[in-house]
Amino acid sequence: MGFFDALFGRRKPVPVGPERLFAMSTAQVALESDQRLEPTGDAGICFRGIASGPFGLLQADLEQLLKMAGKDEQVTMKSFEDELNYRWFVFTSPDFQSLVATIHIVSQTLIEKGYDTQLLFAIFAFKNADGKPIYWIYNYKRGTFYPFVPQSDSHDKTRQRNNPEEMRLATVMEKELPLEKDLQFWYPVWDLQV
Amino acid sequence: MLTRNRPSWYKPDNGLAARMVLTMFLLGAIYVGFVFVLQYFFNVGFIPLLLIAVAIAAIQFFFSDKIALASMGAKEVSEEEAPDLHAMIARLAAQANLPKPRIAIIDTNLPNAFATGRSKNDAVVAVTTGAMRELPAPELEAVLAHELTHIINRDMLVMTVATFFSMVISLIVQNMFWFGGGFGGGYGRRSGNNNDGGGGAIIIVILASVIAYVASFILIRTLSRYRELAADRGAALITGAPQNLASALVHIDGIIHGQGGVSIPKKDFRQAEAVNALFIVPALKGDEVASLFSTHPSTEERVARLNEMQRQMEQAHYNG
Repeated sequence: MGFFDALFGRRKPVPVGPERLFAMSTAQVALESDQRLEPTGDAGICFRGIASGPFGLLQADLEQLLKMAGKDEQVTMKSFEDELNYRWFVFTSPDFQSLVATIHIVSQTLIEKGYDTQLLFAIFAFKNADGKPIYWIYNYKRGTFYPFVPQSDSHDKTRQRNNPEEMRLATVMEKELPLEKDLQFWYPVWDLQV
Repeated sequence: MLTRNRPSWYKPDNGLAARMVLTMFLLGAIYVGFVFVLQYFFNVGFIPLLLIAVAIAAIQFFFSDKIALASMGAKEVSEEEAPDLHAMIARLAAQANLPKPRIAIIDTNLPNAFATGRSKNDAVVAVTTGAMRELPAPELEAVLAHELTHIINRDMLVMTVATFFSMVISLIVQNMFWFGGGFGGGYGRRSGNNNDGGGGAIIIVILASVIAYVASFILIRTLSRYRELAADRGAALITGAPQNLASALVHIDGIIHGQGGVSIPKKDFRQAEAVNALFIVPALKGDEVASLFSTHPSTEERVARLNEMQRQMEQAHYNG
């Protein structure tokens, strides 16, 4: 932010970058072979504040788009609004590459339709060798990935996360993914339906 | 022990060792230089000061554990009082091939820990109740392993020796007024009488003292930071998990510095978004000058080094 922007209280809209999402398709190989993390087949996009009318149209458009794109590997889509009033698109496919491609093309469509500032994050679900969930979250506004590992063995409401494991994963994936360097942006996402 | 080559993360950090030796050498050089200046201008006078300093250092060294514990309000706890903490430290000590130290608890919310004591056989590890409450077990274990490494590395002894001459210099500076007259015979009321060189000599010694004191202060702080990094490394080797200490450091930094600290947020992405708009400008971080004078390296630097160890560990694993 420049001096005059600060002076006049202007803020440049942060450019939204879905391009770096594709890093996940190559990173997945390393995640699976070196870290024994397997994709669950689920991935999602979370965004906010689109009224139900336009959202219905958007949903129809996207379903059409997926039908046209899904030739070899079928990607199924569901959408819902969570308890924090954020909209979700959740995609399921056994093929991880088409999942990444779908997340990318849907993000691109949302941006083209003018919803770029509403896009919050994309999320890819994995499970480790013990079957515990591990997520990689993509922050559109920063164009970076970070890991999110909920402490799944505690069923209490304290919402603990496994920070050491997150830091370890970030360290070993440094070359493969554009990582979020600033730990302050490693926001958790609780009550996931992905 | 296996006979094949140890993986690189297990080997000593030669760069760190070299910087530590250089720092100690510079520190020694300053002390020797200062004594030379003192000797050159006055043949006598600083021997009593040296003796006083030796006495103070000896007292400091032999009673430091009690002084440190008392000043922090630490209370030694028995195995019955804190069975979990005792069990955790006993396990770590066994792993580090160290006799189990005495254990003390400090009743404060700030998450912290320290180790003190003259030798491996006479050491105390103190932990705050804040650290026990806020840190998950693997992170607390990593912090305790860091403190045990301070004991293994004899950091108490090293830092006492390193600060010893600095203390002598500061004694001289503080007592210049009293000793000045006796030393050079040209200070205070008598100056400018018939002793021409005395006043000049005093000024030179004062200047030399100030320069030596400032330089030694910076070097001692530098040495202290290197010892901290070495202790981080040792902790990672004892626990076998550098990321546990890295996470603990970030955790502690976040609690101590709040918004300005390096911390992983607990707030949900969706709830944080609204708040975030207000926090566009990152909180001001300490600059280079601040780091020159601090006893501990920055959390960022420590985490970066631990991450590097983690990388090397996993690399060694894949290379077989």
